[in-house]
Amino acid sequence: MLFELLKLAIRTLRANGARSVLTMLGITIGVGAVITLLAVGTGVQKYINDQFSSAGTNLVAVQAGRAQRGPGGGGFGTQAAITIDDYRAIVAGVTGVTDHAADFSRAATFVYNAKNSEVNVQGVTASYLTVRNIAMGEGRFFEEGDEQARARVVVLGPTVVNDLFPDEEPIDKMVRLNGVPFKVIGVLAPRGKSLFGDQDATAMIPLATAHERVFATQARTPNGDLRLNTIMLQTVDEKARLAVKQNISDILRVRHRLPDDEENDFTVLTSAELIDAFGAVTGVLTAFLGAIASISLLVGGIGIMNIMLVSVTERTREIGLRKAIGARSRLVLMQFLIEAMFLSLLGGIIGVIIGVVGAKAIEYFASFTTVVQLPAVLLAVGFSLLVGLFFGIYPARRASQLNPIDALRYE
Amino acid sequence: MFGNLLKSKKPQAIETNGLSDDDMEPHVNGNGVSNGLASNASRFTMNNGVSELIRKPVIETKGITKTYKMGDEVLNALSGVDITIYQGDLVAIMGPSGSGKSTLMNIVGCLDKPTSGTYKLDGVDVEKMNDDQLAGIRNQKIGFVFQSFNLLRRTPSIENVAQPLIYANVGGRERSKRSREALEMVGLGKRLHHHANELSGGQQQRVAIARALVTDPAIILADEPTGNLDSKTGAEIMCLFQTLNAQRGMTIIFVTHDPRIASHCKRVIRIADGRIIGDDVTVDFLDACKGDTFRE
Repeated sequence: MLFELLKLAIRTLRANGARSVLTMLGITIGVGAVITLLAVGTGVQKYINDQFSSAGTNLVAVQAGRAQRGPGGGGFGTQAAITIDDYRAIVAGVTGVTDHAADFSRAATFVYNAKNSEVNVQGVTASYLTVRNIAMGEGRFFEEGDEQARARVVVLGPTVVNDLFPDEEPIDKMVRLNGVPFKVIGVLAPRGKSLFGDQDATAMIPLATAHERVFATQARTPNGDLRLNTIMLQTVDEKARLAVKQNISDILRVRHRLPDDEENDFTVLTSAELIDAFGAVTGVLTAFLGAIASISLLVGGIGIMNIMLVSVTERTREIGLRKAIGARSRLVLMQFLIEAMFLSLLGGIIGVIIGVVGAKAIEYFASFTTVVQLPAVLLAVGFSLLVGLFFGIYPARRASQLNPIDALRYE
Repeated sequence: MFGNLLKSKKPQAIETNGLSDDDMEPHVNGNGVSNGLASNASRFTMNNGVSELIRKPVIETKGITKTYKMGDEVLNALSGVDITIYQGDLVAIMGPSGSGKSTLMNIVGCLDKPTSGTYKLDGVDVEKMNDDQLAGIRNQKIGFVFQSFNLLRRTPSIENVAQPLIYANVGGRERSKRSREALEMVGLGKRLHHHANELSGGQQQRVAIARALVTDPAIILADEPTGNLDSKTGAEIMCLFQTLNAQRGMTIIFVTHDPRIASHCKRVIRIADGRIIGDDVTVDFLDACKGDTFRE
């Protein structure tokens, strides 16, 4: 009987071709939008994950100040600083670490050939490239010896090279950073833009050189210790992460003489935590996009209800006839419900196709990765079926409750 | 054809006996033929030559009333209707509008329930059935023919005819076989796959009659079946009804205000103000198959 009703529904919908297509369009657009926007959202999520995993997943980073959520936070007022002595203490006291690096970064005036610009200069340890998983483009990176010698050598990011050496080979050229002469010894491989800006707009110099030659006035705390921006540690594996984090916390609390009831004046972040944090943000983003698209699905559902109500009115005599020749009310209800559900399901399936094509089109034209996930497709199709059921019930009930005598007489 | 049938009619006393069970006292028309007799051309009698004694009542109503409440006013649409209609009857229920004719048709057609009284259709007491049971009864025992055909547009004739069988849970193959047979019976064997809207009015009504026949019902209930047709086509349709009645012993009940239909029936029941005011049987009803007898 169900099969007969389905055949009947298909026949009816075909008989009203144009109207059926227009009704379906609401659901099609809704589902298409859901699929495309979810694909975009998932694409963003994947992009962020890739960003972090390119930096290494077993990374633990220590920064000054409290990690506070919301506005008004920030550790600037807390006088917190992490210093090179903290770094040494951590490296000496923490086990389960394969590599480590530190940086001290400030903006500096960069001069070459009478061209002047403001560049973010990173004073980093020689291990920085390995820990951060950054590749060299040409030339060489500095070594331990350069650091010990406080060598005035600089490795440039591609953006800086493009800006200041448009037609020149930068290697071995002399530049000035805050007035101090430096020799360019290498260029980094391009890394592209990240969430935090252009990763290639950088110049790297040995940490000791930064501390003592370029930023000597800003590098020391009131106590005379050398400041660091970030300490990074590569743990042996994922499991070591939490132990390392705890270990660092213990060491720094002692060193910073924090009483038991005082919160940390530093923050220990692991890359996994960052991925989770951003995952939460992008998850909200994706859900938000999905919710907006669902509204159009809802509107599509109302369209179906609208048309089904018109259809019930138009087909009053048919309903009367069906009842006269022996259709029970429940069968009339089912007939109209199946029509509504078939309409919205078909609209949903077409919507999935359009949504996938839309996602691919965005990928092609905006060169932005989109990810169509099977659960999203199933969800959208299932949801469109539910929309049909939900918005079909009222018209179908109206049809089934018609009195056959009045229905047959309806003009 | 009808002439032959009429000649073979047997005595009337038996019918009168049969009727005496009922409260209804039949009116006798000018021909002096008592009621019901002419209608006993049931398949049974014809084919087996068994006496009309066995004339079987298909419809028996006793004391049917129907009242409608409209605000404070109570409207008595039917006030005590007793009718007995036998298998093989070709009967017109006539009355002006407002007479209760439509209400009676709805009750006889199991589309409505009487306020009081009893109704036995083909041996089944239907007056207390619920809506679903009534739907089943309509499906099995009643074939409806309407003034406006009520076919599904853009649907082939054979599918239109098959609709009642879907609700009777008849399988697809059996359904098309029986639908084709029904269409052949009404002379549309070559129009199986024409859509209803591609057929003429007369053909559409034939499809509707095939749809009424396809479940092999106990009665065919035709509500002004020629109302939307010109007189020539109307006569053709009446001829079809008369042939079905004569050859297959179909019990056919017309509900009409059209005296032309009544003139083709063996029996005419008249209703006014919710009561039966006349029940006449005639032997010299018109034969619609003999030329254009349907002109006013």
